[in-house]
Amino acid sequence: MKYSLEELRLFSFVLRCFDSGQYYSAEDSPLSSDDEAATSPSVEHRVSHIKNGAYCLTLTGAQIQAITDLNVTLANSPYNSKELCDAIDHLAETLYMPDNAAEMMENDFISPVVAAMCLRALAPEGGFLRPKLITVNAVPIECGIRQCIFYVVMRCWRQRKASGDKTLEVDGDWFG
Amino acid sequence: MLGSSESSFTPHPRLIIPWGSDDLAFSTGHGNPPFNTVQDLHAAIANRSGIAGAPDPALPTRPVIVRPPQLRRYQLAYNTVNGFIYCENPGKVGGRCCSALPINQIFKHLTQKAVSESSDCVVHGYAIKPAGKEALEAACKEACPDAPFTPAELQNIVPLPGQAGPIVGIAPPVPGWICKACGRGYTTKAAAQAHWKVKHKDVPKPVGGSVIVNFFFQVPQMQSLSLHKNFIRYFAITPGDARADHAPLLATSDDMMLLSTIQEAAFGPEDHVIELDLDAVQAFFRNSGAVDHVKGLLPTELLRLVELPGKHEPKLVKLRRAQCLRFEAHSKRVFRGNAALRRLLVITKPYVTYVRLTWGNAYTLFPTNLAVNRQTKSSRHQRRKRLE
Repeated sequence: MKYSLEELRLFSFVLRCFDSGQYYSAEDSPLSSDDEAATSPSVEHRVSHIKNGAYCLTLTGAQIQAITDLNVTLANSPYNSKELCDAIDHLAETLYMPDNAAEMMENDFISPVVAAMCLRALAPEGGFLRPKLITVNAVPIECGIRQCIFYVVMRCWRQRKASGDKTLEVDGDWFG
Repeated sequence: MLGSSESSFTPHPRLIIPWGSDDLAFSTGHGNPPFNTVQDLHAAIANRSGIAGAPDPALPTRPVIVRPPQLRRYQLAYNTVNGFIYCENPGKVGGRCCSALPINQIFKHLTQKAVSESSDCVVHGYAIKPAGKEALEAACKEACPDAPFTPAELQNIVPLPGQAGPIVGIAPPVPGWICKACGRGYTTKAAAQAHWKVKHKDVPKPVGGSVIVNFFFQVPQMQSLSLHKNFIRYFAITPGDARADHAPLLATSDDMMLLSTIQEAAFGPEDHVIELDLDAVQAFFRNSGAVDHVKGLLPTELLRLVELPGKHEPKLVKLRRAQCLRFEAHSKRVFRGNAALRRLLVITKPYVTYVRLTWGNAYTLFPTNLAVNRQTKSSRHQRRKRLE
């Protein structure tokens, strides 16, 4: 149960930021605007995570689409429907396997997962928690990531089996 | 056993259940040459422990628990020592059902739609058509020919002569009272007294002492293969021989050192876990950019973003319910998945590795590889230089 709740925190974090408009699209410039940078205490550092004085996420197009779909499904489908489960799966996939991984080499925190882990590491009184206290939050997320990748691989596997050897070149030699 | 003299007491070699012995991922022979199989590892442990000669043939050459494909499909398993099938579906014993099942009751156990509130069983909800019952039983019989077929046969299963320690797979032992007349066991005095009153009321009561003292053995540990109302048959078990010969119950530090050494020889050195001091932790948060990332923002506001959904967020409350169902369903299916793919998952985790590279050096529980730390810091330094 705790594991699923830790992942829920991540999804809630993303949805909250999205619903309040506190996000940048990855297609927009991820660099801070000049006026914000000028008022920032660390001018040389990127502050693209702050918008109108509030915390701000960076989301890829796929992530925005997945969140939009999830919002629609949440509004229209019962909580135990397959559509809702699929929508959560899709969001998890776009979060854990983002298409902007190359840019993450420049700035880790454009990943909502890393950003959420960073915020979860905060102490309420300021500063960061001791590593021992952070680990218990990070492990469930790691489990969620593995689980997500597992289902992506399973899906590829089923698709490959269903279509014979035609997808072999597309998938590479994953299952060889 | 406790009362036997030292000269006549032959200590039973302590059985070592190989770790991972019931995990298909480890039985593929991919280890280093000296320990290609679990048996090799056993032999090495026995030799290094000073147990003379070749490995004792009494040592188990197959895992205690096996899960043939026919059983794994329904999350059932087979105890090879005592020879019975038991259920590993979700249940009330540490999250598992742990109920031993005769083959002719498996269909009912898996498909029943309701159980009484007082039952220790839960509904597993498998959708198997009645026409599939015979095929299911035939498959189980084929996979485990020695498994009991009827409840009566199951009730004949008791610990083997000389078997020490609890029977694996079923609910853990509990203390209780066993009737001297018929061998039925009870966990409470009241139930034991009621049994005597009903079943043995013709036996004259002794003048002194209570029924419990006179007609029941008090046993520190007893188990029942099934906790279903009609199938409960408690039997006493002998505590592990480590306790009987006054050896420590748990593995000694020497045992652990030995096991670590052999594991290291087989699988290579393990990553060290280093408790970082506060300065190192703070340096990590600075170098990783986490300090800058949260600079200028109130921690309380940031923490509110990652808190669990509250009552004022009905949409997220609904998401919570959906997520719990989703996670539970996924977790169940992972255990039914293809073993080769599960192994692939363990090996192939590109993003997990990336996250670990980014954050791993702050975690006490994650393997902290100093080389990785240095590499990460160095690459950050180079990146920063490039940006400048």
